[in-house]
Amino acid sequence: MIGARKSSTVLLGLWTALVLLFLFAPLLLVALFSFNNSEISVLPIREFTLRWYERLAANEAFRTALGNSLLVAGATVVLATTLGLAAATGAHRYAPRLRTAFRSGASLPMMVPHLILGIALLGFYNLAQIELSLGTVIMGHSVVAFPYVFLIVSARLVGFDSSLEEAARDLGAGPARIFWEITLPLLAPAILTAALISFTLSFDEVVVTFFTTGTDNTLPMVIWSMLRVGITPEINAIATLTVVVSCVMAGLAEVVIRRSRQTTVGKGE
Amino acid sequence: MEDTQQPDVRIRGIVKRFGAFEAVAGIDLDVARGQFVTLLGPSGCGKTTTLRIIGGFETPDAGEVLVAGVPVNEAAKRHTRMVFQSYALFPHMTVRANVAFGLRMDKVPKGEIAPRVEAMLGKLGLADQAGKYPRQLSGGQQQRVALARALVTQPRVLLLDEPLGALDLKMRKKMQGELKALQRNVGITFIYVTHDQEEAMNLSDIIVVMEKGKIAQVGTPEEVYRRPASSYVADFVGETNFMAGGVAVRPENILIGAALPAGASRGKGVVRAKSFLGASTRIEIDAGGQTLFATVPGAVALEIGDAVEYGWRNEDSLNLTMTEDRK
Ligand SMILES: Nc1ncnc2c1ncn2[C@@H]1O[C@H](COP(=O)(O)OP(=O)(O)OP(=O)(O)O)[C@@H](O)[C@H]1O
Ligand SMILES: [Mg+2]
Repeated sequence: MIGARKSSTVLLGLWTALVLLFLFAPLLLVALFSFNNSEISVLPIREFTLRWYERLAANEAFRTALGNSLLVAGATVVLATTLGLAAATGAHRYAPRLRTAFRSGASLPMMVPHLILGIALLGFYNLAQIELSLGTVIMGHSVVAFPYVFLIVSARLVGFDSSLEEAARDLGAGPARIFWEITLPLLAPAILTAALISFTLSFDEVVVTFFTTGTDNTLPMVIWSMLRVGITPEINAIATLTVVVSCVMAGLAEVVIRRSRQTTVGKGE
Repeated sequence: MEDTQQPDVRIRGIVKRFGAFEAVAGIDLDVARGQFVTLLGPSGCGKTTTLRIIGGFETPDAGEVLVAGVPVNEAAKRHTRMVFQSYALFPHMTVRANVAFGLRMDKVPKGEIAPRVEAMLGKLGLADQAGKYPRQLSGGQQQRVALARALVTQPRVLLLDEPLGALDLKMRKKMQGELKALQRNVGITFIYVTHDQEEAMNLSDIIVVMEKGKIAQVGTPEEVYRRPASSYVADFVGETNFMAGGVAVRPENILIGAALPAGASRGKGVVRAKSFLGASTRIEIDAGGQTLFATVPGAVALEIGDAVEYGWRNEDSLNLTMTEDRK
């Protein structure tokens, strides 16, 4: 009995390890090759180097694209988080009956393939005669990120005790005070998580960017154009950096979620 | 300056509808300064809605509420504070910050806030908990923080919606005593909501018995118990035996056998059950298809199945107007 259970545990562990290897081996290889002092990506690695990173740092196109990506992601965080927060709190407070319908509507952009979204946005910009630029990219990315913010904040609001806001009002706080001192701090973990996710979504976005950008390039677009020449060690370096940024963001989001669980869930509530 | 003779809270003909349903169906009530007044009634009779209208959380469809002579929704300074059933303590603030919140909102000078908060915490036995967060406190302590947070702002009227509902029985009894002492100590008006008649009897100067959005009776606990205005009140406040012919008698006024004086109303029945309660014995009598309850002092020699003569002094029967369901 015990032996059987033990061997099944071992098998399960082995299977898990294989799945993880399948998922992460490509990433690890890319990271490994980015430190490889050889022009071609083959094992074994004979010599480690940082020269691909140095070359990247000197690459004007890369630096501009990185700057653009950070700018776009930052602006998307601000725009999508503000809109998503406003929509979620508004829907929660003013439209209890319409909430479900509103929620489906607001999360629609999440279901639409980015290809369709990109084409639709391009059509819209043309119609409205808006010139393509990083600004149009930011708007596009905000459309992509908005439903995530909306859903994350909404989920937090479901568990929100509205008598907290009533108590604050009872003690003499006006609407602005209530928002800043009660609502916002209690939603802060959700808002932060939403902001981090918006950043990651924007930083990795290719398809919508492709349709909505003018002459400016973002990082994924630069990778895309470089790929046409073939995989170079420089691309490995960029990819590694992108993965690191995404992982850091995801890790931060996780930490925020855990800490918020510790501070708001307790006995007697 | 302010007229001390006028009632602290004056409720005039308030009505509140939710859709077609009248949760509050015309209530008039004056609450005098410094009284402990309890709204008592079964679930759904409109107690919370009435309290929320007094607190300004709901606007009545008709009628008005005056606190200290000023209509609630026009007052420049609010005179009521609410203690919520869920306590509604701010989870991201310490006990100290929770209690200081109302003073900050009232723009009390900074130097004054800390001493007032500490004094209030001390008064409620919370001095050691000041730096803790609400989740680190027991239910009873959270309850006291909610009271401290409301009282520190020195309201004229404190509104409490089943504040002890979330506590276990023992804690509840203890807090009842503390609440009553606290109310005497601060000397302000308490309007209290509960569906627990024992709690209402225990705490109140005045009990307001509510029935389907209306007031069924207003009186002291003794008045409401001894002279209930209707069979509804008699049934809800304390236990009542409803006899044939519209007579109602409390179990403690049912007399057994030799205890029956001359001239008492009498009947015969069979003991169906009895339980010894220490100071008294409770007997269930099968009186020809009707069940009566009698509470008699001390122990009783009767056994289950014994024939028994019961009765009551005519002056002990309740003088009731029968409500629909009892006629
Ligand atoms: N916001 C609302 N919308 C619709 N109906 C409501 C609302 N608030 C209360 N009601 C209804 O009004 C009636 C009275 O409610 P209220 O909360 O005042 O009762 P209560 O006496 O406090 O009862 P309980 O002892 O259960 O708390 C109930 O039937 C309730 O369903
Ligand atoms: Mg209620």
